[in-house]
Amino acid sequence: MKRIIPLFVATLTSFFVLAGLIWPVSLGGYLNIVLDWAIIVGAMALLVAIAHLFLAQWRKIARGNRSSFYSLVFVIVFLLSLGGGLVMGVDDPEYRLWISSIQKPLEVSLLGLAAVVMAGAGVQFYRTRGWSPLTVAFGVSALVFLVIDLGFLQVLNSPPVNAIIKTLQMLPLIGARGLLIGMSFGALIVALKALTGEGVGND
Amino acid sequence: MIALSFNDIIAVAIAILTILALFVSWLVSRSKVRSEMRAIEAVSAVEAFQHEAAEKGKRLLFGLGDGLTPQAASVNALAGLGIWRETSARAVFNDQPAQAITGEGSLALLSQMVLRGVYQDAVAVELFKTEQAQLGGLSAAAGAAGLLPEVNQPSNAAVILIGNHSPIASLAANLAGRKNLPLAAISDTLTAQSAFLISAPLSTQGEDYYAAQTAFKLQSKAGLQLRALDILRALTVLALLIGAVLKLTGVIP
Repeated sequence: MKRIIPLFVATLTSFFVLAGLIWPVSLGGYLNIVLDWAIIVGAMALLVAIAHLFLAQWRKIARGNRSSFYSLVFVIVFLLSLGGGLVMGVDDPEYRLWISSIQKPLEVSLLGLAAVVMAGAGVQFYRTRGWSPLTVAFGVSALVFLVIDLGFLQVLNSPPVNAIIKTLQMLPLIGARGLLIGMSFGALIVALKALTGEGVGND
Repeated sequence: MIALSFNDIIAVAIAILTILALFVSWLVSRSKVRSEMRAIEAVSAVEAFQHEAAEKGKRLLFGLGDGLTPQAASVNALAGLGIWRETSARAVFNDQPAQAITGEGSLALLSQMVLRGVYQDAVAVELFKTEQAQLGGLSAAAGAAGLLPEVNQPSNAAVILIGNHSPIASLAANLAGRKNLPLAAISDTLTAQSAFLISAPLSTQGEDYYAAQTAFKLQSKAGLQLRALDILRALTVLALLIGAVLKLTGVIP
């Protein structure tokens, strides 16, 4: 019974949301209320998850692990950010500048690192996967699109070359579209299963 | 009476087609045995990793990604929870239980709830710890930054990246490779799929992500989704080919 009630509520809610999307005029008002509830529950979930994260780091400090220094940094920075947000308000331009001045360089550094790592992985790709039609096609297409994106060929301003480039530039779009169609079918099946409470670890 | 737009009609038609495909696969599954199911290499590897982890007394590390953020709420992130459930259920009494890191708050709580259910089923709630499913960070970059120190732990037997990941997760794949840890990368985003193709030895492409959970369970009922996906894949290819021919011959303007 403990399991059936949440499952029933979840399934009923999902069918209601679906009905609200199909009949927006009749159920649109109620749908907004349900979506507001979802946002409140989501926000609460976020708060609880952050509290868990904080407590986990706190326990690491208490245990005095080798990595507890990083946990200490996390706890101090977290409390500073939280205190700043509470005192100055999250919409305060100074506070936003403070947070983004730390966050953005870190994220950009990670992205830069990811780019370097992927460039290295691109070379190692042949060592790990060997020579196959897939790897050869990958290498050739990567080279072709690198050359095209450099823009040197476009400078020639030759109509046949431009036509070839235009056709080639459509290929990734076609491939992505094919993959996305397949993925939308997959998402639809997962969604149908989720509607009935399956597929999210309940089955 | 509400007038449906052309897009709505197409959407309804696709939904009906999917339900029909599921129905056809159900009919087929009644007369076929489970061994006929298509295997997905990256998913089969997860099963092998599990045995290896149990033998070595080490843990499996899951990167569940993000994807339930208010900006991009998606059912896709939930697809990984099924494998998380199955794997952690088999590791309840292992020396080291499975560990999950998520990049989003709601997903972290859901993975904890799923895990608690697993321990309840095993009548071992006292062994459940919330730290087994942790929040790594609140953005793709922060989530990856939270995942990296966990990949670096010596207690890992293998790393499984499953869910809505960004290409930054390739850093975790690279780190796992440097530490000689087996890795399976199963993601729904095209950019992450391409990043994993070159950085992870085992990864899935396209819609195989959605079949991962059912392929992992290897039950005849679970095979429905795989068969339905195969039917829809064949129908899509056929429709695209017919569309291309009609376009080339000028039938479709």
